[in-house]
Amino acid sequence: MNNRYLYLPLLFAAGALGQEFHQQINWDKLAPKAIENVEVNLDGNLLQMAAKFLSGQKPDEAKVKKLIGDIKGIYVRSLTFAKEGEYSMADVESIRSQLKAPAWSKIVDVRSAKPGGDNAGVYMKTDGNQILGIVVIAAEPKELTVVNIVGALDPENLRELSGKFGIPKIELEKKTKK
Amino acid sequence: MSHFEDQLRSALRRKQPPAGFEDRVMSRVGPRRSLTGWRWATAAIAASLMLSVGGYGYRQYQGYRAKQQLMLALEITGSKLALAERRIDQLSQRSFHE
Repeated sequence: MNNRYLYLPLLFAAGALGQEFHQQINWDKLAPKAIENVEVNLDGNLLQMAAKFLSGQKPDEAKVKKLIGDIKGIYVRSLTFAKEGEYSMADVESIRSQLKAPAWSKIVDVRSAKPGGDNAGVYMKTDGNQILGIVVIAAEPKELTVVNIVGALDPENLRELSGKFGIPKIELEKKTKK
Repeated sequence: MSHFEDQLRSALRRKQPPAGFEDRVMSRVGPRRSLTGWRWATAAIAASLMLSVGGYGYRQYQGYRAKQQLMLALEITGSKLALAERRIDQLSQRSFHE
């Protein structure tokens, strides 16, 4: 039996938890104040549909296709505000508070000491070497963005995408193949 | 009035068909075929074809839209990861100079 199938119940659980996380954020409170509201909700079905439209011949698209193979959902919400102070750090904190250990590991947490600075956080849900989800929170003076990627991400595939789509170069520990 | 016009009028005058004309014509034509069934079948085929083409087109549109959304999601994710990286760089440079 393929070992991959042993992860399936875990992946479904991760998918459900990931969606739950995004739904728990009180967007209704924040969204009316925004002048621009970007919302991307791609569940497993839509990702599969998108994958069919990704060319295996174009190198970048082929890498994306490989990356999204085991992803159960990508949920993005980005709010742009007309002026600073339209959302509070308490709002950001309420989002962060849902990403607690041991389920979530804080990979990056940059908080500006001065008010109105950029804050960024990257959180990962892992199971051994397997990444089961990533949440990126970027709190800029006039912009609040939360990205939630649900499902199994192969670090190798993630590394292949670095430098593309504005994704920075990712230095991950290479898998040792025996 | 000319003689020609009289001849024309006479030729075009409405005349009753001879007795039994209709029966003779109908016996030559044969029994009338019902086209209703064929029409319905043709309409049903055309409708199902239109629905299939429409469904295919809609699935194409959905797939294309999903791809666009995926690319947008990756762009946003990339830019926010880059923001985190920039902030880390700034902090590490600051701590290096201190």
